[in-house]
Amino acid sequence: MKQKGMPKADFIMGLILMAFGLLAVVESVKFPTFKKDWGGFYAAPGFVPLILGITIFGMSLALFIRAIRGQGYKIIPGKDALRNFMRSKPVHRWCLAMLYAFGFFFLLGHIYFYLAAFLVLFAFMFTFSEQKTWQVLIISLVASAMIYLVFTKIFLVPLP
Amino acid sequence: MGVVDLVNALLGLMTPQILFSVLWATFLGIIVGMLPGLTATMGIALLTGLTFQWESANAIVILIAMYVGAIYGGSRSAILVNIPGTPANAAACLDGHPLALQGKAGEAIGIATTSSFLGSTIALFFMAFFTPYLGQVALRFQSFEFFWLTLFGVLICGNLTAPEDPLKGWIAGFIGLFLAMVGMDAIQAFPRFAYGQVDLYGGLSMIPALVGIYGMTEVIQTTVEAQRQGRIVQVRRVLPRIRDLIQNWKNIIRSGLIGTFVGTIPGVGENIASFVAYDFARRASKTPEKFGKGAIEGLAAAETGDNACVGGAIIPVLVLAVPGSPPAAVLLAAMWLHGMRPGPLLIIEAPNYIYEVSAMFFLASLAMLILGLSMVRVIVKILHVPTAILMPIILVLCAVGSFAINGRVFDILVMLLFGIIGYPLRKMQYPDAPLILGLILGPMLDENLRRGLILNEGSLMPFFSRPICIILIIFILMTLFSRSAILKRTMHALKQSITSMFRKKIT
Repeated sequence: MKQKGMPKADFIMGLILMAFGLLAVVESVKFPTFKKDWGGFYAAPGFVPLILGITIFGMSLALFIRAIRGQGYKIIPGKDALRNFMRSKPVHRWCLAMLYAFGFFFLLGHIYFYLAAFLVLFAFMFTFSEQKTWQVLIISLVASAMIYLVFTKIFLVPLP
Repeated sequence: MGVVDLVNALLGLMTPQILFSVLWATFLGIIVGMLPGLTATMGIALLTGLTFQWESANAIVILIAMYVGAIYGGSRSAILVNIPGTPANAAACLDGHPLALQGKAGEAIGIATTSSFLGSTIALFFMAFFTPYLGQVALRFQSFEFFWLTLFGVLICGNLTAPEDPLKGWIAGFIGLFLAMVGMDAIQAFPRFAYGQVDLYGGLSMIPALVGIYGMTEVIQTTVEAQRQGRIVQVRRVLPRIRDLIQNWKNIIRSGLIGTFVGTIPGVGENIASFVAYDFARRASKTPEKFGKGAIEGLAAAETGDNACVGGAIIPVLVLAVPGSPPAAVLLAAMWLHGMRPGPLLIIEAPNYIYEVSAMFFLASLAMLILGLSMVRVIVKILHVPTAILMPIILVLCAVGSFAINGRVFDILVMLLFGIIGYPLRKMQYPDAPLILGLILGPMLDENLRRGLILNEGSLMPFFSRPICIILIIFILMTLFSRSAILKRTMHALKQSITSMFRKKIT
């Protein structure tokens, strides 16, 4: 059989999904069965989640075994690999993108929508685009105003 | 009779408001499709939230126009920049961009536009005239058949969207099915996996989840990978040569049929349709060596295939409430939101709705042809917008679109979480489509399995003895074991024994 791509990622994902499948099984078993009113265990609200949990566990076990065969268990990184990971630009970009996205989420409801939109647009563009600061300022001002006006006046959509 | 119904439906849509909606939504769709990173699914999911308050016919026509426009629009960037605007247009890059490099960018856009329109027309024919008959078959479906159909949908979708590693496709599909279990179940209204959170009692909202998987994931991926734009090729003449179209008539019809057929397979979608059509065109071509070097045949096949797939994907939405592609899944969710009830009973409850949707699809395809051939230079200018400017705007739109349907900030959190989950899944080659299909089909699978068992006092016999069930089980087994060497050998031996019966024996 042909060796499938990323064994290390599959090893970790297999572990996570097996835990997820097990958790699904345990939680599904806890649901009431309503046997008296509906007949048998097959009518219980946990019946289908239980089957799905078992299936996910089985499939992730297959993924896990395949990853072990591909030596995917060698996952502990060396010092250099860890340092390179911490210094890599994509990781920094991901952290910043998450910070801005969740910052925007937590600002919603606390300040006016257009102000929150302006702040996230400005922060995102200022960090990631190659435009000059004054250009970013104008674009984010115009874009947040346009979004606010188009959605409240044309689409009649309530904004957060 | 069908023709009269279709014409009546078309006349019913000829209001200034609807026509204006079709024009702007198709135009927006072309732009969404053309900009790398924005997909048809994301566009429809965003517009579903934004047009939620609108009158239903107008809202649905807007979504269909967005769908048609976006799948077509991706060919622009594929031809001009060699970046497919949507995954559906990846096959268009193979011959579209080489044509552009030969100074035939306009010609390539013209061929892509007319092929897309012809593909849509072929799909329209099937949508309008065959869907009612399929609806009659769908009426025979009961809980048992629906259970197997949903299972088949998720498995075949996983198989085809992760061809290198179907296991990952199936895992994604089953995670989607499991996530659909969150919230009150349909039979006893028992809240599952809600953990006392009132926001989870109604389940994970479909549109925020879709916006998260397709929109937010794209924002994260584009930002993290700092995707750059390619050099944009100049455009001259756009109108296609009639000679080219006449020379390709067989190719266009074949690709249209392939696209429509692939569209009807649950959750598979336009990207596969275009590659299958492209592959068939290459096999049938007299000059296969020109493919990949600027063959008009290749471009015409890819673009006919993906746009025919749009129509094909809407067919199972109407008769079975099972989407043929991820954008069609959002369309199905939007139809539910607007009070439509697609599914087997549609043919009884609202038989004209099939013709109305077909007429909407035709208007959108016509708008695509007109806009595609007339506003080339204006639309191409939009390709100059840097993704670093575009992505934060998309992030804000994702938040607005997720919030708009229920007015809950919680839905924005759902959207963000699906985006966060979606990015690593995509990087580890877990396809998005089965996850979304599972999320949509999950309640159907749960309800039909349990209802079927309750009605038969726990007996599994009807699940295995009814004719349509048996056919679906065979399909499922073939999907699961299609790569098995034993099955391949058996099929080969079977084929040999059948063909040998008709072969002349040499004595």
